[in-house]
Amino acid sequence: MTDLICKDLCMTFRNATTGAKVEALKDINFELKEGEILTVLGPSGCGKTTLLNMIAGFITPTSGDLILGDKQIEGPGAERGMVFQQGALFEWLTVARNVDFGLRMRGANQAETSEKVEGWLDTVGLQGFGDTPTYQLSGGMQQRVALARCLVNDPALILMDEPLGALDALTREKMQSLILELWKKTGKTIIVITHSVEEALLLGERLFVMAPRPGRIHREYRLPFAEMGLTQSLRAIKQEDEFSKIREEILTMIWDMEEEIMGNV
Amino acid sequence: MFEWISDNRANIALVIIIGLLIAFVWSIRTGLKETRLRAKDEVFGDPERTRGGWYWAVCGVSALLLVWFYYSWGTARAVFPKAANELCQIAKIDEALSPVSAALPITSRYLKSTTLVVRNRAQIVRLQENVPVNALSASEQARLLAALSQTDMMISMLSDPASVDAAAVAALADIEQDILQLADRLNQGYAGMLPTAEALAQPKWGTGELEIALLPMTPRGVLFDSISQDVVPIADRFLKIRNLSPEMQATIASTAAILKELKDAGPELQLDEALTKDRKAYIKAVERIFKRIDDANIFPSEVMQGVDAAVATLFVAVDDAKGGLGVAEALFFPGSGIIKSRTQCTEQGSGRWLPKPTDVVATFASLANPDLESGGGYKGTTLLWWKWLNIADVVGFLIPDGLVDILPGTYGTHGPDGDFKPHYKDHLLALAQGDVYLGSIPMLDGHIWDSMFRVLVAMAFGVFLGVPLGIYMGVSRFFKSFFDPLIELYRPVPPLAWAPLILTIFGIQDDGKIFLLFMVAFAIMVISARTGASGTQLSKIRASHSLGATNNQILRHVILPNALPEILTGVRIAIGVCWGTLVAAEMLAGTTGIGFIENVARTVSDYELIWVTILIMGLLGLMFDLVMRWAISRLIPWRGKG
Repeated sequence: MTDLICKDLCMTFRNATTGAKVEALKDINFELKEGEILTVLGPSGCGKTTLLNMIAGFITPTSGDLILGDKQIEGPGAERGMVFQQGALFEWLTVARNVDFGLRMRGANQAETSEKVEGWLDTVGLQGFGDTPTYQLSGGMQQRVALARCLVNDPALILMDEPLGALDALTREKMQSLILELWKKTGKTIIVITHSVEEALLLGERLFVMAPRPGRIHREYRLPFAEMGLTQSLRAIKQEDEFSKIREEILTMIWDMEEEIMGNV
Repeated sequence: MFEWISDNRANIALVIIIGLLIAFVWSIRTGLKETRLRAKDEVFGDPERTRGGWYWAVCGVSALLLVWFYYSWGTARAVFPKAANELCQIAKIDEALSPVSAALPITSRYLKSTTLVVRNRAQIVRLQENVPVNALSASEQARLLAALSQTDMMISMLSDPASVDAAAVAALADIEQDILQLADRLNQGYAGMLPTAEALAQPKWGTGELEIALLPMTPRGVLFDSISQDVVPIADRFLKIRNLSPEMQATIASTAAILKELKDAGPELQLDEALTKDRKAYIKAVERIFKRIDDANIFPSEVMQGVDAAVATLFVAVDDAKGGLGVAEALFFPGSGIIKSRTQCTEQGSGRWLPKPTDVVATFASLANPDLESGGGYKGTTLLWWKWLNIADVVGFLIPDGLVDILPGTYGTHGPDGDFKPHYKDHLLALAQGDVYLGSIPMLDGHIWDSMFRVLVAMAFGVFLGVPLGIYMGVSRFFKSFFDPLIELYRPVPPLAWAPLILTIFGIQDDGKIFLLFMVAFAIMVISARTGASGTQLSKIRASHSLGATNNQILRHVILPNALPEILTGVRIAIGVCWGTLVAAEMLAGTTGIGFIENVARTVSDYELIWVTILIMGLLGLMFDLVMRWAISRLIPWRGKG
């Protein structure tokens, strides 16, 4: 089993000019079962991106343990795929070369690689775009390439840092469906960080609302909407009373936190 | 064919000028029409407004060429091919008359007499006020002051119409009459005058050894030429006139006596060395001013009036005789006209330093002619051609002799019978020294290639050493901090400031220049590669880490391509700077290259050649840039789209 275990995780930054310590994260504890999809919400500065970067291995926690499967997380690795807000595609490569980047770097078999790439491009809805330069793609298509590039590596855990933040509303909804579809199809563990409460509710089987100063998990939800989204239209789900109720509750929660921050300053 | 074109360059220029005029007018008309058509669709400031508009390019280029033709007197030669020869004949009159006109307020603002009077009077006053009292006895002082006041009196005598020498007045009157006669002859016109066969056989304007043929080739020119010949004895006579009245002669004699006595007698006081020097210098100053005045070439202004008027009349007559030529000169010879000096007539002003476009083409054609024996190329090297290159020379250049030395074994020695038995090391040494024949390959050759070769080799070294270092400086704290001070210290120094040093160390041949250019290219490449590498988006680096790439793979597959736009921009800048530095370095030293040609052309004031080299440099620089722009658009189509 490749569960993600996060135990007593703390992260303290030191301000470079003033020397003051800032507790970005304090005592984060959770466990994510294989195949679960988790969304993380919170006001700006609550440390959600820091959490993601630590899981990805880009930064090392001050204290605490991060364990994926039976291995301690130390540095970035191919078993934890990452999708960035702006895609972070290599604009000098074509779509196919972007997607097969990871496999190429690890010297995988060429024929197998191109077969896999074709398959994943089909899955994300980019069949026939293999030879297109990525700079000619729209924002939504670029995110599809980023998803395919991540999935072709077959990671145990997929980390998404506001993956749909830069997209227009319509594209966003399509991409949300795509993410749920991929989740179902691959059975991967996924963590999505988002600013949008609706998106968090729609995509998250589990949802963390984080609070700032120090960054911590304020409240956890277990939600049925992700499962529902596999069969129903997302727009219909949004109409549900239960959905609206939780949405309002979380919004109030985040509003209060923001007010508190403003008041403190 | 080439001869024919060269001989008829004036006519060819005329055709080109007419074509340019048509293109100029047509492009303006088309441009205005197009502008009117589009005016409705565009607002001011819309970037679309700058697109297209090639007819304005035609307009600009033709205007530039027309201005060039005009100011280089190319238009003048095309429209009036004989005008220069005729103006040369008039210049002969000016030259012959110059001794006379120099004495009159024609070439300067004042009469020469006036200038002399004013200047010498001022000096006399200065001498009177600065008598070195310690160096001269009272009697010496008195006698020197007397000499000065007598000199001053001589100036008054020379300037006074009442005391002027009668013979001089008569001689001036003769000259006046002779000049007026010449004016009369000019007014009678040039009917019946014919140029000689010898004159007609002279080469055309700008095609012969002399820029402008000396002998008159038109009837009008014959008239001017004959007048100029008659002016010569008149001017000689004028120069000999002296204003020596009997009183003047008496004063000169008495003053000269005073000064001679003083000089001969020696100092009356006991003087040390410095004072002796002062005394001598003062007496010499007084004597110098006296000698100037005793030339007696100062005349009262009233006496000069007659000659002045006659010369003015002659000039009016010259202008009248010019007729249409005067109009042509005013319209088509901008600048200073043609002057004659001793052996040749030369164009002045822009006609001198701006060669005619057709002449530039002719000079270029002769430079580009690869046949050195028939006068092509420059200083024994073609402009751009090819030759057989000995492969052994290249091999010898690439393998250092020292490499053979460190190999095991020994070099051969001579045996008892005087035979030399070479060992394998001797054979290798011959290879390293280029003494083995390995066949030849065709290779480019010539001044242009030499210049380009230097730039290209320096660029190659600059790129292959500078880019890796720059990339590492972009990603590594050690590389950045270690090399940054070194590069930032030498980079701001203008490359030419390094030139004397580098050329001394590495020699004035290719090595020194290539190293100098390498320094330029290296710094630029390091900095651009570093900027490109350090500008890589963090998310791309993180993404590639998460995709399982190793550090070296990230350098090669992410950071390098990401820095490529900056690197290519750096190459483009470096080529431009190298090109500029190279030409200047070639001017400092060397025997081939475009800069070398220009440097030699400069020392002999060959303006055509200077312009040809300038144009070649401009075109080659443009070519380099176009190649780079093309390469940039081909190699990095994603530029600015990431």
